[in-house]
Amino acid sequence: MRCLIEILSSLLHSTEREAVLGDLAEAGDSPARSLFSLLGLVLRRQMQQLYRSVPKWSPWMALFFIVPLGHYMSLGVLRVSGLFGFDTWLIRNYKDLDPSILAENGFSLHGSVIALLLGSIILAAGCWLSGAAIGWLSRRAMWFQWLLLSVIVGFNLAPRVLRYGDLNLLISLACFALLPWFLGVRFGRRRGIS
Amino acid sequence: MLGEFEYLLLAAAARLGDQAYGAAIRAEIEAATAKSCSIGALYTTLDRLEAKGFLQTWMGEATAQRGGRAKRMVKVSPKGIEEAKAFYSAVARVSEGVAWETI
Repeated sequence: MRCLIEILSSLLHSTEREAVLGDLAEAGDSPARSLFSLLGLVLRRQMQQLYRSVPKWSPWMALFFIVPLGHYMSLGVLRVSGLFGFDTWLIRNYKDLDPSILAENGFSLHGSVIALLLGSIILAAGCWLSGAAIGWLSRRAMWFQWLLLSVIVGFNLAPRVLRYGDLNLLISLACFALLPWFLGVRFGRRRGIS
Repeated sequence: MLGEFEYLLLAAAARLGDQAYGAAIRAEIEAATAKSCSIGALYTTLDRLEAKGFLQTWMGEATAQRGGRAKRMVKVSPKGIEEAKAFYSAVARVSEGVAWETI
């Protein structure tokens, strides 16, 4: 047990190690209690060190994990708009449709509304989280993600909007991805570290 | 505003005066609260209070009782005394007229 205490205390700064080992000896605690107390202090110190080192690796983490996640989210908007296209159409044209035919094929108004709502909430929450993480971790990575998003919008959506007048895609992107992302970034930057 | 443990630590250090150091403060807190005080909580709180300028610490002399190890001595600063006084006044004010026995 003494050996464990010596090993564990070597993780502390030399002056703190001196004071802590002295305190433990003076308190006359059992070796098990001393070990447990020391473990608590060492863990706290390690956590403090880890937290202090966050600004050093946060831009890389943002670049390699959060930016791709944000990219995936923006692609998710395209998927969602495609997946829920039928639900949107069903909700809009429900008055002109025969409910019995819809029911025979396993569709219903409330089912479509719930699917659309849940999909939108999940997507918006994901984009908000991605924005908050980017805003919190790195300002440079935030601009990089914004550039990536602009490229996607510019090369993928703009031609479709111009050619087919498909504004729904642009509206869903703005409401369920861009706005939550911006709000997330704002939230993250307020609590940010860089 | 100080936290409850921060206040306990400042009060124990102030009470001990020139004899305030890690083990003595820990024993004082344990005797007052009848609860165990972890070394981790004590030392991280000491650092936090020192960073806020509420106390000063320095390495003192070694004694045989401590296996020849030095003590981390503690002295509450005037700023720390003011904060502790403010905390104590707030607790006293908010407790005024409260009869805990009947609740």
